[in-house]
Order: sequence, then structure tokens, then C-alpha cells
Amino acid sequence: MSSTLFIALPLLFGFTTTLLAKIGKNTVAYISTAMQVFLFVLAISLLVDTKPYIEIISIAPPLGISFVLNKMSLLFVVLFTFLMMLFSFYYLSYRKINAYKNETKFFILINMLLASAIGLVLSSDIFNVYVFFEIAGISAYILSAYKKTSSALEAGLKYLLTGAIASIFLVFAIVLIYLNIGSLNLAVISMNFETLPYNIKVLISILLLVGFGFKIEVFPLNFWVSDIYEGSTALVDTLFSAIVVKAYLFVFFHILYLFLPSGEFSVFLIYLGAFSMLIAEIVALKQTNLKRIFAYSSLGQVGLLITAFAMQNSDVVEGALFIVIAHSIAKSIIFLAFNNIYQEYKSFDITVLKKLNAPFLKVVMLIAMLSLLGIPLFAGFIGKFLILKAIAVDGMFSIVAIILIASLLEAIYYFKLMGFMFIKNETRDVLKVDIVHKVIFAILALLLLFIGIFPFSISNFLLDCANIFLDSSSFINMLVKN
Amino acid sequence: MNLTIFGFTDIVLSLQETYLANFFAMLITFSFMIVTFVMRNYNLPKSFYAFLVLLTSSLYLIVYAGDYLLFFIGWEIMSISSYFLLSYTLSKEALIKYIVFAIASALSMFMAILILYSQNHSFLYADISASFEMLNYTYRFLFIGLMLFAIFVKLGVIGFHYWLVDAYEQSHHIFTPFLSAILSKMGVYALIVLVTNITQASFILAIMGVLTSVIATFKAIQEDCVKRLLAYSSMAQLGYIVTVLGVSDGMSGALYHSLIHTVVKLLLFINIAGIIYITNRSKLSQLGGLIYKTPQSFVLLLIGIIALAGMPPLGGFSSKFMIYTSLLDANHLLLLSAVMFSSASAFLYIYKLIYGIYLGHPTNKKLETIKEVPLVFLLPQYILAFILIVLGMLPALVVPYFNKILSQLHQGVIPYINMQTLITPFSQFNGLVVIGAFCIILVIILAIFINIRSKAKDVKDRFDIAYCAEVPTQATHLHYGDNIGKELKRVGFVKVILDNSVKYFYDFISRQIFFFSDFLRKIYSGNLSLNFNIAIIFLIILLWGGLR
Repeated sequence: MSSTLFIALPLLFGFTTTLLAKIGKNTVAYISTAMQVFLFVLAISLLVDTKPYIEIISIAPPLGISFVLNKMSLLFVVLFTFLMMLFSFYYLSYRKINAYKNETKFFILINMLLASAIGLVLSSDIFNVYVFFEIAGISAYILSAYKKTSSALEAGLKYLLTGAIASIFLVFAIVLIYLNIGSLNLAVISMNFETLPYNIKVLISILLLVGFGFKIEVFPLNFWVSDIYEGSTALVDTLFSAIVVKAYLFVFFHILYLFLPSGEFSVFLIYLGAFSMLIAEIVALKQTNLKRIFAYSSLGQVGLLITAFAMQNSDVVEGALFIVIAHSIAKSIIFLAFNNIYQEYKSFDITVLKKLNAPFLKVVMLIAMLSLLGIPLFAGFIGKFLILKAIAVDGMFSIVAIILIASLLEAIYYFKLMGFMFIKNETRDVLKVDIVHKVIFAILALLLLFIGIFPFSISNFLLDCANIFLDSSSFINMLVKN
Repeated sequence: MNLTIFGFTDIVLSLQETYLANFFAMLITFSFMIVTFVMRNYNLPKSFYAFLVLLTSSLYLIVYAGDYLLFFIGWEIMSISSYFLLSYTLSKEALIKYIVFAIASALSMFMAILILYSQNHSFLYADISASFEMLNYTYRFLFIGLMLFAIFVKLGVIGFHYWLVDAYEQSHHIFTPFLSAILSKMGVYALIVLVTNITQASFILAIMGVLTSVIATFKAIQEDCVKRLLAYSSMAQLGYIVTVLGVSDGMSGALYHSLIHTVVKLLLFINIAGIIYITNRSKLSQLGGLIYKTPQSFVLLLIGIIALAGMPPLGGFSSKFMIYTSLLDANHLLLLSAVMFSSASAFLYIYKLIYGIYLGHPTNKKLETIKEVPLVFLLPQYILAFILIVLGMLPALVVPYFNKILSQLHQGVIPYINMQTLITPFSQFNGLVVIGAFCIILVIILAIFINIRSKAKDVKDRFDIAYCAEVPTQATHLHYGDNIGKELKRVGFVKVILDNSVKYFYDFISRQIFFFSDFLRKIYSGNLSLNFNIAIIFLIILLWGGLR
């Protein structure tokens, strides 16, 4: 039942918001936050369960809806609800100073985003995946155009167009699957996928790659990303970078593992991911807009994740999960800090960092950047290390070399930014940071340090998750039994 | 001690306490202690101390690590924390140069240890040679290349030293001793770990070491800035260590020279820091004639440079003696002559250093009113000078300890008769006799000098030399210290060395990368139709590739 709650509650909230808004001005904000706290507590309470498969819900099989909550998807649910909860708290204190117009809509949208991200992670039939793919997309388009400035509208439109094209490919793939197999359940498709003719298999995988490729921001399909990040507000970028991409990545590789357990396609993806990382880091070198820089850095990290997930090896996937956690947390810090900075300095130009007088924000941003770079003592290092170690054991040193060169380029522009941050500037007053914001930043930064120094506190759990994620046969068995 | 980390069952980390590690840990502790004396003189921000502690702990991690993973973690933390320490004073350009090289060094080391790990699934030092044997030739070559790149960057071997001189020059005056005395020694430590397990790299080491010492020496002679001069000198000295590590049985010389170099460079950099503290100048052409104002500093610097030059009475000679001996022993006569050549050329910059600061005429009126360097600067220097003198008298004082290290590393030990006598196949070296002879000569020279001096007449004004053909004015440059080495470019090959720089090479590479970045940035401009076209091309390629 709890897995439906994760999706149903935010959706339900979305439908009842208009009524709630009538009760009082702040009701929506408080209820939304309370609901997210509840979801997070619920998710945490499920962690106690030691069984790999916690809950499977099928409604009218084989064509109906089914949700699978296993350790791996629970990890993502915990991550999403945790970040969304902190995001809500952040916004609660932020709205006192600078609330969005039409706040009710904003709350509907972020809850839809949460519901669809969790839905992508939990659902185990491909049509449901498509539905949540669209819901996530639509709420993301509106969120990115929310400010109604020209650049925000441009970003929203671009997002809409790319999203529409992506869903065309996805629908086409689903249609082909249904025509050939006659089922939409992932388990049934997975069992019969091998029997399909070669050409159909290739066509379906290519269509899936292109459809999801736009969303998981893989190299030749990621040109729109930096514009979206630049046009949207920093607040919304937090959600894009920390939650939305991760959900798409999860579902893409979930489907990949089920359909094509190994083969040439994975090798192609490994190289594509590494190449994607390298290109993104090269482009980021010459950027002058902070949001664009971190958009490219996101592309780089996602490229690394694609390589890692495509390796289909539990050690690498464990490392990738470390990166997923570290990257989500670090990017939340960065974009939320940018939001604070923007309130005062009204610019996202790189020179803002030179003028910045905000010691606390500088320290947490420094921690986030060092973690993103994969410096020892920070969470990012553990992930990068595990990934590279396992790739090296597989003997793919060219991939290791590409990733390391990309890391070097990444270091160049990160340290350039850090160099700006060190310039002491006391011409402006110290930037006031709300105490709630400070607590949120401190929690996130300490988490990065904690994971970096005591990785073994969660590594067993992550290894279990990775094994469950990769073990498609038991997934199929569990689902078919139900 | 092996540590098995829970959750990572396949990764065994280990800490080990060897004599070698203890030796380097002792150098770290000693330098830290010495520099702390001086630190209270400066008004440093609190974060500086925090990063310094982080740096020191990473250094201990490096030396006590028993496997390459912990070593790498220490190495990276060292690079990052010294980046923060440098960031207080370095210019933006120098800072970015430093960090790019530091990160490149760390990442190439990472790649190297991953290559090694891929064979035996072990990071332990104990398995290095076994894993190396299992690699095929390409990967052996790659491993050695990457590892040496990482180490050479830290050591500032020629070609990889692009970051080094600027970082030394601009770093905080109390951090420069660390850079030279300790951080570079970590490169030596890494090199020792490498060559004790893998011997295939020795030829490259010998060549690169000699090249470094010769070229850096000439670069040092050219320099006007004191700290840059000492930076090049540091490179040259480390060049000797690299050379001698590339020779069989050279470990003893390398260890001894590491010890001497640490002590000497601490002494020199603290001395320079003191001079800069009282005069606020760091260029030789702006200093001069300080001997009357700061006689104690002068004597201490004199002791330091005698040891740096490797001249007989002081500790520096013992280490040079061992380096020469091991080169001679291994019949590397060409290397020996090159090392001797650079060692002899080093006299030029060493003389330039002491002349430029302390001798000659003061170049500025302000220099005539300064007082002696504060005691906090002098005290550590006295300790260091004392060590150098003791090591000069009793060169074998530390040899029993070195022999423990060497026998643990399965290297040839250093033969000695008693505390004051080192012995080699070719000769003996008795420290007490040498220093006794030196003292006698010194007394004789002093007697002659005082005799002449008593007859000489003191010139009241430095422009009062009208008995020469021309009368100097205020604008006339009477201090010749900074001119030493100006004519060196007339020598053909020295001109080639001095005129060419790795700067052009690295600039070329960075230009190419930025050009490429600019090109890609134009594709990522957010033009949707272009991007959809690319997507369609991608799709076509996929279909063409997939549906063969």
C-alpha cells in the first residue's frame, strides 16, 4: 500500500489544492510540506525491511498497473523525498521574502514532479512509465517557464519541443513492443524480448535510446539542457538536476537491464557516456554563466553515470549509486546557494563570485564542488573510485583515461570558480542567509562529508541495491508470481 | 597493519611503519616544528592553520601508507590543501597553473595504480612487483610513464616544472620552506617506493635528473628574484636525488641528500623570509650591503650556502660525496661529469645570492636604516646551522639509522669506520680532519684579512670613490650582485637553455583545448533546428549501425 501512497498522495494533493487554497493563504504551503515530511518518514520507515522486495502491487494484471518497491527503488524514493522535503522547507522560508506569483500552481507542479519521479522509479509496466514520463515532462516545462521572463519562456518552449520529440520516439517504441509481444508489463516483455527478430529488437532499442536519450541528457541529444538551466530559476534547476534526471536514468537502465542484459548495445552506451562526459567538460571550460557551467557539469556527471550503469557490474553500479547520491546533494547545495546569491546580486555571471561576500555559502559551495570533483574525503570520490576501479579490472583503460581527462578539465573550471571565491571582498555587506537555509545547507554539506569519510556506513546497502537492480531474473519472477 | 574496511571486502588498505616512513615522518615533523617558530610573527588567518594541519596529516598519510590507495588519497589531499594554502597569496594565473598540474599529477597516479590493480586486485606495496610482472609491455610502459609523470610534477623535474617557480615565488614566505623542504620530498618518497619495487625506470630517472640539475642551475643563475632563484636551486638539488635514484646503489646518497636538502632549504628560506620581513624586498637588484645591519643572518646564510654548494666543511659535502661515489661506483662517468658540472656552476648562483643580499653596496637609502632580523627568525636558523655543522664534523652520525632503512629496503648499506669517517672503495672522508683543516685555513685567512683591514681606510659615503675615473651619482647602479650571470648567454648551449621554455608548449596545448571548447560552445548555442538535425543524424547513424 505504501508504494501507492508515494504516488497517490502528491497527486491527490494536486487535485485538492484549489480547495485548500480557499481555506487560507498559507495552508497549501504548510500542508504540502507536511505531506513531504510524511512521505520521507514513510520511506525511511520502509528501510528497516531487510527483504529485497518490499512490496509488489498489481492491479488487473497483465495489462493493468503494477508497482514494484524493492531496495533499489526505495533508495531513489528516499533520496527524492528527502531532497524534496528540504526543498520545501527551503521554499517555506524563502517565500516570506520572495514568493512566486500564483503559489498554488507552483505547489501543484512540484508535487506532480515528485509523484511522477517516484512513479517512474516504481512502475513496472512500460505504459505507466510513459504516463509518468509525460507528467514529469509537463510539470517540468511549466516550471521552467514559470517566471514568464523572455528567457524563461524560451527555455520552457525548448523544453516542450524536445520533450515532445522524445515522447514520440518513446510511444513508437511502446507501440512496436505491444504489436510484437502483446503485453506492456516489463516482466512479460523481458521474457519474450529475446525471441523477437533481430531487426525489431535493434529498432526498439534505438527508439528507446533516442526517446530516453533526450531526457537522460546523453551526448548528441543534450544540446537543449544548458538553455533550460539558464532560463529557469535556480530553484527549479535544483529539482531538474537533483531529481528529474535521476528518475529518468533509473528507468532507462531498469528497462535496459530487463530487455538487453548484455551485448554490443551496452558497450556502445559505455563509450557514449564517457564521450558525453568529455564533451560536456570541454564545453564548460569557456562558459561565463554560472548556471550554464553547472548545467554542463551535470551533463558530465550524467555521462559518467551512463557509463557506469551500462557496465552492468554490481561494483560499478554501487559506485554509480554513490555518485547519484553525492551529485544530487551537491547540486542541491549549489543551485540553492545560487538562488540565495541571486536575490542579492541579481546576476548569474561568473564575476558575481568575485563580489560575493558570504563566508557560509562559500564554504558549503566549496564542499559541494570538491565532492563533485571527486576529491578524497568527500562523497564524490568514493563513487568515482569504485567506478574507475571496476572499469579498470575489466581492462577498459581507454574509458578510464577518458573519464580522468574529463575530470582534469572539470577541475580546471571548478578551481577557476574557487579562485574567484577566494577573492576577499568586503565592499558589500555580508549576504544574509536565513537560519533555516543555513541549517539545510549544513545538513547537505555534512552528509557529503559523512559519506565521504565513512563510505562503509552505506556501502553494503548500496551493493545490495546494485545487485537487486542488476538481477533482472528475480525481478521477473517476483512480478510474474504476483 | 592491514585494515579491512567493512563493506569493501575486496579492498585491503594497510598502514605500515618502516624505517623509511619514519625517516620521512621525522623530516615532516622537524620542518613543521621549525617553521612554527617563525609563524607567530605573521598575522595569519585562522583558516591558514586549519589547512596547514590538514596538509601535515595528509603528509603523514602518504609516508605511513602501506598501499597505493591510501598513498593516492594522501597525495590528492596534499595537493588540494596546499592549493588552499597557496590561494592566500598566489596570483590567479599562478594558482590555476599550480592546480592543473597538481590535479593532473594526482589523476595520472590514479590511472597508474588502477593499471596495477587490474592485474592482482591489490593496492598493497607488497604486491607491486608481482602485479607489474603480470602486465604486458604496453601497460608496463604506461604504468611507468604515468607514475613518473605524477612524481616528476611534484618534484619539478624539467619539463614538468611549469607551475613550480611561480608557486615558490608567490607563496607565503613561511609556506615556501614547506614547499621546498617537505612537499618535494614526498616526490622523493614516492620515487623510492617505485624504484625499490620496479627497476625498469632507472635509465629515465638518471637522464631526467641530470638534465634537471644542469638546466635548473643555469636558470637559477639568471634569476633576480631571491625566491625564484632558490626555487630553481631546489629543482637542481632534487635533480641530483632523481639521478642518483636511477643508479644502482644510489639510495644511500638520495636519503642523505634528502636530509641535507631539507635542512638547508629550511635554513635558506627562513633566512630569506627574515630579510623580506625587514626590508620588504625580494629582488637581488633592490638589496645589498646588509652585512653590516644583519651580521647574524649573513653568517647563517653563509653556513646554509656552503652546505648547499656541497663544499667540504659542512654537512652538504657528505651527501654530495656519497652521490659522486655512487655514480663513480656504477661507472656512470658521463652522469658524474654532468652532476659535477652543474654542481660547480651552482657556485655562481650561490655566490650571487649571498653577494646580492649581504655584500656590495646598499641599493637604497632605506636599507641603511634597518635593524637585525627578529629573533624568531634567527633561532630556528641557529638550530639548522648547528645540525649542518654537526653533520659536517660527524658525517656518519646518521649513517647507522640510514643503514637500517637501506637494509630494510634490501639496498647496499653505507660503510663507515666511526662517527667521523665515511669510507668508500676509493677513499675515506674524515669530517673532523676536514673541519679542522678548514678552521686552520679560516683562522689564517681571517688573520690576513684583519691585518689588511686595519690598514684600510673606511669610506664614509658610498659615493666617495672619486679617485676612480668617473664620479658616481645617486642614480649609478653600484651594486653588481644582480648582474652575475648576465653574460652567460654568450655561451651557445646556455643561451639555448635559457631562451627556450616549456611555457610555449603548455600554452600551445591550452590554446588548442580552448579553441576546441569555443568551437563546441557554438554548437551548444541553443539553436533548436541545428540540434534536432544533429539528433536526426545520430538516429540515422544508429539505424545504419544497428540494422546491418
